[in-house]
Amino acid sequence: MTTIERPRYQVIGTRPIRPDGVEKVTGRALYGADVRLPGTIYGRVLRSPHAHARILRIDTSAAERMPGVLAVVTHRDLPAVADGIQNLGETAVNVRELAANLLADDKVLYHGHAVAAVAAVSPHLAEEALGAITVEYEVLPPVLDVREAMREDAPLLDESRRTKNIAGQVVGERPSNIAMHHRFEAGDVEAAFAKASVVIEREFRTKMVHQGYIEPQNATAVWNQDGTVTIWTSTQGAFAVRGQVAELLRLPVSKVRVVPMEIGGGFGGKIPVYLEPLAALLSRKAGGRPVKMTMSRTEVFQATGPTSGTWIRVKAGADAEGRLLAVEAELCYEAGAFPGSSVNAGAMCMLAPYDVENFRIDTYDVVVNKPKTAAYRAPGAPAAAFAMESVVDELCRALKMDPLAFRLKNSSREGTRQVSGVPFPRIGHEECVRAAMESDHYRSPIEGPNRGRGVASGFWFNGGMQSTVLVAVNPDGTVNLIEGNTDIGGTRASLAMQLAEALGIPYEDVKPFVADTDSIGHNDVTGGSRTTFATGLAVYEAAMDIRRQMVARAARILNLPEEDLEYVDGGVQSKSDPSKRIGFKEIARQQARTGGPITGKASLVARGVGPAFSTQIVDVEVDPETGKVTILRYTVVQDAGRAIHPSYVEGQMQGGVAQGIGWALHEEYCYDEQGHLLNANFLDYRIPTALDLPPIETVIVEVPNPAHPFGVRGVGEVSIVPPLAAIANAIYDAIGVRFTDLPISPRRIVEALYGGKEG
Amino acid sequence: MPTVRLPALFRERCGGATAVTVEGSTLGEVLLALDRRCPGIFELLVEGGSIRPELAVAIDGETGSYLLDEPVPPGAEIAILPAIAGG
Amino acid sequence: MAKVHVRTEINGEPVEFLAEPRQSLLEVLREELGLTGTKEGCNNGNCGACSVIFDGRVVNACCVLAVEAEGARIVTIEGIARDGELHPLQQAFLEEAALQCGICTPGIIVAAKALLDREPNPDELRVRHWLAGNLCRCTGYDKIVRAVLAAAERLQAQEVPQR
Repeated sequence: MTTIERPRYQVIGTRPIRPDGVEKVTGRALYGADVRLPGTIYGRVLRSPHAHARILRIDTSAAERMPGVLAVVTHRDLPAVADGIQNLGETAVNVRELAANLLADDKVLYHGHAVAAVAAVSPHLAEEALGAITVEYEVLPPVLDVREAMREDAPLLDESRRTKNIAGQVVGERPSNIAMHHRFEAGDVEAAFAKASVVIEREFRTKMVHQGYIEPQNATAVWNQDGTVTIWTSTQGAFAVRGQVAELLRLPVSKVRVVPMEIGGGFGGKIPVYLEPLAALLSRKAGGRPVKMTMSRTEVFQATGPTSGTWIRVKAGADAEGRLLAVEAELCYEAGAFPGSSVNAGAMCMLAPYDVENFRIDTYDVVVNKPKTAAYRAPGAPAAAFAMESVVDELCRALKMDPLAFRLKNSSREGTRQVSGVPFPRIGHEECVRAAMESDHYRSPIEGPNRGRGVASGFWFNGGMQSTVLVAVNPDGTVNLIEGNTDIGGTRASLAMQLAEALGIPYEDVKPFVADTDSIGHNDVTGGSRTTFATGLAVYEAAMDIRRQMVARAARILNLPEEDLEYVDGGVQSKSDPSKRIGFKEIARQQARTGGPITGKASLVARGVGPAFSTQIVDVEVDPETGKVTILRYTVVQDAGRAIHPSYVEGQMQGGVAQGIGWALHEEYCYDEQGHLLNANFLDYRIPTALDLPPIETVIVEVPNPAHPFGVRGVGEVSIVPPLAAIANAIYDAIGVRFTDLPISPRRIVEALYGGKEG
Repeated sequence: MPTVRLPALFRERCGGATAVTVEGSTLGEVLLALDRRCPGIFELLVEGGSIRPELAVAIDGETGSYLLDEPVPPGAEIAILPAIAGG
Repeated sequence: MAKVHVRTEINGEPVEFLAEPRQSLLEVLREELGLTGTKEGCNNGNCGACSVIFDGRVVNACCVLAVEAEGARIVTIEGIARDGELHPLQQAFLEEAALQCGICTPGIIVAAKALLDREPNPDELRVRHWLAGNLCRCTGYDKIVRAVLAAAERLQAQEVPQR
């Protein structure tokens, strides 16, 4: 649906075939693991069998003596890294901790923590060489749960760690696993609760879950004889890899060239480096041979960023008319082995759908003996929304109020202050709720035993950050669009479409190309739902650059003053006599004679980010015998601002929902008491299959972002935020049991219905 | 004059105020003026001449990484918040 | 480890290679023969990214030893498009936007082709059941299922005998 009349676009809103499509359906597209260089040798990583242990001794001599083994590295081989901070887009990463996560220093902090790496002439030989490395450990008691880790008597991951505030200032005197505490507060919470006629308070738990991209991490690196390093890898951000590798190896960024290969999914998990610096170090030790490393699926689960397990308490109060008066919350997020969970993002998202004046939210970032978390699609938001949207559902039931009517009544809108104090620009939550209310799904009755319906809303900020694009006009009138954002899900198409629209030329005449870090200016990651918005802005600016040059060239060809000319519909014409006109292709053909090649460029920090909201409806049926939950029907409503390529917008909406369904119903990291990850494979860590999911209905709402020439908001992340609560609310509606712990697995449902442990 | 909205845990430095209005036409001037009212807060927010990377600043609703010489319009509203990352 | 001489047929062409007994068909396809369209997602038979058609059946190439390919007829993603023309499944995946990152796409197209080869007219549930061994993390499968059904329809239409 369109809420504001759409300008007449030629390309935007159509559904052309993506430029990289044929290569990807024929198997010719080259992903990181497909790189094959002459003389390649293979790297493998030795990982800790313990969740928490002191490393007493590492002996690599036997491995080094094996024929065919060309290099072995441990933490000692990492160039000494000071305790510096490097800005990875919006993620602040402590380089010392990045180094200690890459290869354990004096302690291993989780099962699967890298201890050493080996390169050999075959992957099998490298694997055998790992077995020849001796590591002596002093095993320490692990702490695996966020609430346990916050206790004063908990085992400490780092005895020097003190709790800090968001400015990095120490606020706790004793050593602690709580790395950070922050508070968001406004109004008078106690007075507001005193006026409430309904108050609900609940505690929630969610488990660590993984991004679950199908392509494992990979890297191929060459340490060239001139001291430069070249890295081929599948990453969300070639420049982020370059920056991290340069910091870790103490090289100037100009010595590191990163060639981004196609990427097989990321969802935030392919921003940190795991293999790239190891491959580079192994290559240096092996005399400059190319070193190729790929992770096994087990390594991906054990040692790459999942998202936090959480404990969240929410107390919310409303008056008899259904006005949300006050919210008090505590959010405790597992950061994994090193600080840096997305707990503050969770706090800043959970109340975003609402206009509530009185709140106090305390956040705690807590280290535990599990892998260092990484961003995962709207990082921090889904768990917080699970808690808040479940409590809102209970408020609505107590008030006997339709849950969408409650959300509409309390909805945030332009000017509403977020919990950070920042007022919202134009947003589309109300429009999403209305579209959900008007949907065929919500108007259809849900009937039958053990069936129920749930709804929830969700928010994500979306990102801006830095982008660069170059545009070159070919003599045949086509254009090359050179950009630096790897294409995870159709951004070549969404950027090419914006360029075609801005230039008034056919989409097929735009040829997008993703360049390496030596070939274009800086680009931040393909992440934070930023690329179609922010790189799209750069594309638009570069198109304006081209149009200005086209006018100047046309002036020479038509022999008219530039002031009399304007760029209209893919050509330049006289303002005074529009019959004097020359088309894009003709100007392009004559460029050599009118001043040489026509190229445009734009580099910018994107301002005017348009935040995203989604409201979702789900119908479920619970089998009381087996505890199995069947998703009968699912509708996702989302404000896209403007859908450039609606099919890929729908794809983002459906993909986020699918991940949310997995998170709600069956995905979780399972550990034993010693901290061993028990389900590090796709059989035991079950992501949804085609058979688990229904058709996912999509409703695209378009409330244009006024700060983007085509109205684009980011669309990549927000759809994963509502499903957790929507499904829990639907299960309550179906069987009358309120689940506050995820996943709501068949076992938990059966136990809740027939006794045993509590739900 | 610009108004700075303070994070909850920094308010005790400013006598509990949630927002403070001060003089200044650049971000740096505003934060220095704020520091005169709330001693120590400049050092809390600024490291080596830049806003700490853990923090983000919003000027009239636009969150970004600003230099201290970023112009601040008269009557602007400035908020200080934790930096966040996307996926 | 002594290598074994293997004679097989891949995408209609005779192929010979030497393989260690411990090497999987997936490893040999990718690392020895350069057929990198077959992807590795898990290397233990759970994700389907390495689906190939082996004597008419869909298998996970990671769970087949390379030496087992002796005398077999194998079809990989590189053999789906013929004579410079995309297979209707490939065309449908493009038109229905049934891929995002594309890493699972080769395995899913291969598996779907095996389905349509034996059952030209599957319903949606059958398609979902058949593809339950091929994990996709990006799409939620909706557009994939639609693409397979669209391709089935197109193939059916092509097979109407011309008079």
